[in-house]
Amino acid sequence: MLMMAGLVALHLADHRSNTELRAELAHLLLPGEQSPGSLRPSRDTLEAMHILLNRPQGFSRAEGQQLSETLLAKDDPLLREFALSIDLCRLSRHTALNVPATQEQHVLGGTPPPMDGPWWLEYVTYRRKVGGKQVGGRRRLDNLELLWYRRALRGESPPHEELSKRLLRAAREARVGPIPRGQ
Amino acid sequence: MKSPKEDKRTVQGFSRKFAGILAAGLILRFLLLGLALPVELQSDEANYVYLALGLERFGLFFDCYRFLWPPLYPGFLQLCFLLADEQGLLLARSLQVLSTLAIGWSTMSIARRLFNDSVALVSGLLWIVHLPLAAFSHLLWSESLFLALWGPALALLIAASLEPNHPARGRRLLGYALLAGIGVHLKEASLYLTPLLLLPLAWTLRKQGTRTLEILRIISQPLLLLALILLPWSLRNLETYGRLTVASTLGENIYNGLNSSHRNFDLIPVNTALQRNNQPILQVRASLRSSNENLSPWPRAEEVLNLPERLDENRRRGLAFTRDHPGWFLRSRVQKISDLVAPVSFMTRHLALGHYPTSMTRWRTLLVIWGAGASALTLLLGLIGLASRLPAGPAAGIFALQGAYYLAAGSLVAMSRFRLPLVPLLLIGCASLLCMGLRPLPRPRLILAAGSSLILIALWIIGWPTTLGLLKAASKGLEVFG
Repeated sequence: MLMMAGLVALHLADHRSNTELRAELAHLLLPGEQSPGSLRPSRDTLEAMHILLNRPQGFSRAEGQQLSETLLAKDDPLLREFALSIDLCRLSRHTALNVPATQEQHVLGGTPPPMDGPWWLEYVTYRRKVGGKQVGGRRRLDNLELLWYRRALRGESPPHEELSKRLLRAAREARVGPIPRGQ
Repeated sequence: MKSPKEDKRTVQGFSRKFAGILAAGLILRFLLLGLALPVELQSDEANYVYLALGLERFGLFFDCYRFLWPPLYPGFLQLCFLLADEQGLLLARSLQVLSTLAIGWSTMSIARRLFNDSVALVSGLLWIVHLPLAAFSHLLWSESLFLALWGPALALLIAASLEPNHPARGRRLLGYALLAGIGVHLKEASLYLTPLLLLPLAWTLRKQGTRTLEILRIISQPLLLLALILLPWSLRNLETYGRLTVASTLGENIYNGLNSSHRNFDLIPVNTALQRNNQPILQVRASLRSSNENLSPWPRAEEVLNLPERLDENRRRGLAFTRDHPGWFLRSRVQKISDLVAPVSFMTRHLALGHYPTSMTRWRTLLVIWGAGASALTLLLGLIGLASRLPAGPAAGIFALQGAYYLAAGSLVAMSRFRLPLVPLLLIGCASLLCMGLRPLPRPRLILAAGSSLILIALWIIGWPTTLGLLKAASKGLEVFG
């Protein structure tokens, strides 16, 4: 009982209100605010965004759209990838049934897409997410894509020709039938 | 009467056989793993991997938009990636194979406590050859790790319930709560079952004349430990989603299970692939198709941003739909329970989808027959064995509650995977029947055994068109099936 009381006390002590979280993230949420140089985002920043974006009434769709654009314009790859995660993709849709247009344009809008390691990390984060097409997810990760992802984390690019073929096939299949589903 | 020396020899002989069975089970599972590599990811396997990558890359546990899954399995995969990078999934699969030792051990241990050494050894032999259970050790669902915790937890609970006055009772109950509590972080389905299974112990204590306050004291210790194990993650979810919850999947399961179209997850990916090949899909019997009633499906509450609130709204819509269509509800439950007990498995589905390499698929016919045979015989003989041979008392209560719980879960979402937590219990029932036979038995037990086996056979007949279709697809491969 004491341990549980201790855990609850710790939770209460660590709790941050929406206002406090917004203050922590001011450099990202308010366009006029200065970003702290080119420092990598701290784990706290990512965590604060994650919490604020998932809270009930934490964030509106319009704010989500704006934050997505801000993060996707950043130099830091981690912030860009975060903008492609479920946390922002669920918010940045204009209507409940649209795809997240800003993210879709960022990942797939370039012709041809760069198809290098950083782009592959973004592609997987965006396209292989769980949740269906409403949040940008199409198909699921497979072994080869996972291998490329692991290598991209080390700075390697996926093999260009093989990736091209795969993207073409995925585009063709997306037009042919529904996304394979199941548990 | 045996001398102490003979007794020691008997115990040593049993232990050697016990260890031999575990070793044989381990070898078979590693052999299967070797044949199965590189097995392709399917559905939730890929989803778990995606969540693990998110944990590794961002240090954040994302939700799945339609589910808030418990964190431990993605955490386990993340750890495997940290330790073995590109070989992370191989490490995960190998560790899962190792963990199945706990399933074999606990199955034999429970059988020995309830019956005798022979039943324990036979249940161990059945555990070795139960192919669908063995196959889950190389698939990336949390079932193997969960059962590796749940089996020993159950063994401890049964020991505590059968010997409520044993000095180790308190330790056994705390062990149960510890293992089951960690298990909830792998599969939250057992969340409500864990406290529920303490009822037979409370009932036994009551029958012995233990005072109510003392019973409450005994039961509250494991419950408090369980709460302590679940609290940190629940508080994390409270902070993030505004909801004190360990995990949340019910809303999406209700969308799948209480909606007009019949969704059997053993079939869905296979049917999708069949559609792609312009081949006819596998369908349930026409009389059980909801389309006969022209019901339109209700949509998910996509407009609700907060995940727990969205899942709550799905739940409300599903319950309203059920209230409006009670006839459909009852009829569709029959099909779902038939899907739950169909002698197919996710290994069958992997074979049909072509996710295994040729090292495995060259044995596909054998594997399909073996898998379906193991499932069917375990279900039928296990049910008869449990109905006829399980000793009355708290263990029977525990078995019955667990059976009813997973039957209820399986009647919501149709798929063979949901019966997996019952397989070790069925193996014990099967072994008891094989070792002890049906006679002499009181008439009510015989009626129960006959009744339950007839119901099972009726459910198989109901599901036969899709079961046969899936087994055919698995034995030929979808590329030549049609």
